[in-house]
Parts: sequence; structure tokens; C-alpha cells
Amino acid sequence: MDDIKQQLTEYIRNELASGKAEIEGDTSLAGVIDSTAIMELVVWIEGQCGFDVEIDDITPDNFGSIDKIAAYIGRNVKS
Amino acid sequence: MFIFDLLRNNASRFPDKAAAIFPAERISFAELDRQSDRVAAALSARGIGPGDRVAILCDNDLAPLVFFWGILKSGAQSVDMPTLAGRSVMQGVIDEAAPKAIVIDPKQLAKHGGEGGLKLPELVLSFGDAEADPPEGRTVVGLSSMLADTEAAVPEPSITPDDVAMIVYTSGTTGRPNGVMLSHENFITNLTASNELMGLTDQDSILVVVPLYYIHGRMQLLLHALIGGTVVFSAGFTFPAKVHAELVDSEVTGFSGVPYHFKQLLDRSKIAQRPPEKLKYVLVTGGALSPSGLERLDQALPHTGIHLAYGQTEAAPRITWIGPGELFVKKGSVGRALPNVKLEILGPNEEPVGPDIVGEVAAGGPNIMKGYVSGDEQALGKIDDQGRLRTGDLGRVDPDGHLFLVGRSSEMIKSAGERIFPQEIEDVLARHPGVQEVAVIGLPDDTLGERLVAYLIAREGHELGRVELKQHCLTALPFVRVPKEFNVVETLPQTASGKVSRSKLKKQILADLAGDQ
Repeated sequence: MDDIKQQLTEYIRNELASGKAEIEGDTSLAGVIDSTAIMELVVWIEGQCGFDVEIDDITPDNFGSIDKIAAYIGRNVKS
Repeated sequence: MFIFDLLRNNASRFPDKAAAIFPAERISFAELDRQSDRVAAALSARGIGPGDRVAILCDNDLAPLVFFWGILKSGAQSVDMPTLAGRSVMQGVIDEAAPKAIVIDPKQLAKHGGEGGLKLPELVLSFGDAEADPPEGRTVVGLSSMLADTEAAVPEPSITPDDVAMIVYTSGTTGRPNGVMLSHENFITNLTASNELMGLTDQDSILVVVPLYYIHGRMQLLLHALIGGTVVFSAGFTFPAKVHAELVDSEVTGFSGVPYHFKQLLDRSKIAQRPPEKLKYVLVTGGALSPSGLERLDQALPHTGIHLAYGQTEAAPRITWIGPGELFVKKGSVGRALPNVKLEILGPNEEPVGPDIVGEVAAGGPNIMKGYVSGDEQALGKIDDQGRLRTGDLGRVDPDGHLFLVGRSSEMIKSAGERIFPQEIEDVLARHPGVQEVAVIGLPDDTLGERLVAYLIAREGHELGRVELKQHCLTALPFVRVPKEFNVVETLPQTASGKVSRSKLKKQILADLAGDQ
């Protein structure tokens, strides 16, 4: 879990937000990333984690912060 | 008639009805009227009134809505500033418009209000957390203190309907945004003409997903002020599935979006499986959906009428409109001119041309802006010597008066509903020490409409990495304005005068792409 959180943080800081932005695990991503960024994030998750993200799953509850995304991945990734 | 009369009328006609509903709170017409009276009184007591400007740098929220109406009632002009802009663009707006005060939300104030941030006007107005805990060294006047002062007199500003009410900043070709000055009359005439065609009543309501600092957002707000309808504010468009749920749950009768919004709702929500039952109409604006996109939308929402409007901020904003009755008969049309708008297609000699001949789209009427804050509207070729708005779009009008757009004569890129001029992005990239030359163009993209692609020549001795360039952009620009690709090249095509030619580059790239398929 910590591993995926670290990868996620790195991906968001490199690709979706300025590295200077202060993003902690529980920082709300609203205002940090927009709907076009979420699309890229979904593609990244599908590529990294090997499962398809369902349309209904792309909600603030699952994608609102790094902690929430990591938990969502944890629930869906095939162990 | 003044714009604020719309709110006052509703406060007497429907005092208890919801004027605006936000995810966490709502306000009635009477209460919005009362609170904005207090703001107007407080502004007036501080010497702000006709001829003065008050900037608004806020995301959609109840407090900025109260401030907005209060500013108009004081007789001052509101200046909408995009929260998505980079800091240098924001500072440029403040320097040019020289507002006497700024309404800034707590988030923006924390971001830009501290040391090394924006140089703000003396009077800073805010709300919420910022009232109790402003950035160090900053004095903030809070909304709650303005509302608490019930003594100050509500002003009766001495203005005319022809005076500027609102200034809306739009992306400019040179990378510097243009402040579009719109009068009370500009709006009232455009709203009235729009609704003559759309026929909305006080039974109608709308879900707003766009920021109010865009004319698209202000138009939805003001149109519902005209009809006495409720405006429901979405929590944002980041999650299309959530917007779908909001459309269903709020039971609004209307929704207005740019093509990107509709494409996202169709692709990334279950709107087709569960169409919002009360949704009577949708309005597509800010560019036409492809014919197949329109058909998909029509199939997904079989009980909802599709309307389409074309306009520009400088036209407050609508120029043409087409409704469900004609949309699938006149395929590709963006509609006929509004009743009080004179639409003309200008040929190479700047003279109007006949039916079905392509030329530049020009518009005249009581809705055309008073000018740019900079006074450059003629120098920039936006208003011609006959007072017509030159849209920069190319089109033709058929014998029935329907406008068909065929392209843009300017280099504006539309990506995810944002209007982006390449110069703004190029200016940011040119500041990177390793970049010698740069051109940014828009290439077709299924999801975004167009995607931003940068072509760069590296300075000798520098290697340009993708992540480094992307990070450089992300520190100055919001994600949607950051190029999706960075291509380092040896040469870039030039114009006769030796400048980089974006049009030649784009032609070359599109030809290469076509050759690959």
C-alpha cells in the first residue's frame, strides 16, 4: 500500500501538478487536478495496476485524495 | 433597466424561492437581495460607486455571488478574474483594470495574498476562514461585518443603462488577456433576445458547472435572474459521474455546457442509461459538437431538447441560436442571428458578401461591448470603423439566414472547453533557460477537441527533458493549459519575416499524421 502511495504521489507531482505544490496523502485534490488530469490518472492506474476503472468509481470518494486513491486501488488490484 | 433590477424584481415576485443552491447551502431571492444591499451600502460607505471597479477572484460560491450583486447595486463595475490563470496574468489584470477593491476567496487569498504574491488593491474583501485568519500583514474586510452593519444606506447610484456594469477577461491573441467592458444594456438586450427564442419561465432551473468568471457562467446566472429561475451550482466538473448524479438529484430543467462537457458526460457517466427525468433542455455553447456527437446526445437524452448557441464574450455573449426544431434539419448550422443582432459575412474587401459565400463573421447590435479596458479594441481589429464586432471566425450564411462556421481565422486553440492562445504557453516555455525557440499548436484530439503540442529547439549545450518541461509549465499554468506533448526538433518553419510559423508547422504535422494512417 505504501509503495503504491509513493508511486502515485510521484506520478501526480511529476505529471499532473507542480512539484512545488504541497500534496500530502490527505490533501484534497480538488483544485489541484482537473477533469482532464483525472482522465490521465485513470489511464495510469489501469496501466500500473492491471484493472479497469469503472465509470461509476470515478468519484470524489475514490479519487478525492492520494489516500483515497490508494485505498481504492487496494480494493481493486488483483492480489 | 439595470442588471440588478432583475434581482430586485425576483425578490418581490418570488421572495422565498431559492435563487441559488450550492452543494452546502442555499439562498432565497429575498435574502440575496437583502445581503447584496448590505454589500452595496458598505461599498458606498467606503467611497466605492459609479466609475469604480471591484475585482472578483473567486471560485463559485455563495459569498462571491452576494458580492457580485452588491457591486452592481453600488453602481461600480465588477471585474471577473479567472482563478485558473497564472500569477503574472492575474497581476496584469489587476494593473490594467486598477480596481479599488478585490473580492478574493480564502483559498486564493492564502495562495496569492502573502509576501511575494499578488499586488492587491488597498481594500481586500473576503469571507469564511479569511475573515478570522488573514495572511500576515494583510487587512481583510469580511462579508459578515458588512452584513452586520444594518445602518449604512443602500445607494441609488447615478448611472445609465449604457454604463459599464461588468468586465470579463478573455484570453487574448498576444498572451495578454483582454478586459471586455459590458454595459447593463448589453446584457439586458442579449438576455431578453435569447429568451424570446428559448422561452424559459420561472419554472425553469439550471445546473451550472462552469466558473462564473467566464461569460458562459455569468450568462446562465443572469438568464435565470431574468426569468426568476433557480441556479444550482455543481461541485465542479472534475467527476462527470458526479455531475450526472447532480443533474438527476437536483431535478433541474436545464444544463449548459461546452462540447467537452457533453462528451465527458456521454463517455464517463451513465447519463444514457439513466437520463435525468426533469431535464427539459441542454444548451451546447462554446463550439459545435460534431454531428455524430449531437446524434449521440440526442439518443442518450430522448426527452430533452438540444439547443445550440454561438457567441463571444464581446457580444455579451450570444450572436446566433438554433433550437431542437431545426437542429437536425439544418445540420451543421449554429443558428440564426438573435432578433436584435445584425449578422454579416465580410469578404476580402470588408464588404458584406451574399448567401453561402465564406468570409469573416461580423456582428452588430445593442449587445456589442463598449470596448476593451485597454482601449485597444480597434487596434486589435476586434471592433471595426463601422462599430461591428469582428469575431475572427470564418463562416457562411445560407439563404435562410443560418450561420455555418467553417474555421477560425485566428490561432485560438480550444482544448477541454478552454480557449487558449498559443502565445501564452509559448511565453512560459520561452522563459526556460534551455529553450531557444518554441511553437505551440493544437492538434485534433477525440476527447479534448484539440490537444496542445509544443515543438521546441534546444539551446546549444542543453538537453530538454519532457518531465522538466512539463514541470516548468505546471509551475506557471493550470494543467489544462500545459502541452500534452513536447517535441524537441532541429528546425521550425518560418514566415517570410523570420518568425516561427505555427500555421506552416501545423500543416506539416497534419500532413505527416495523415501520411502515417
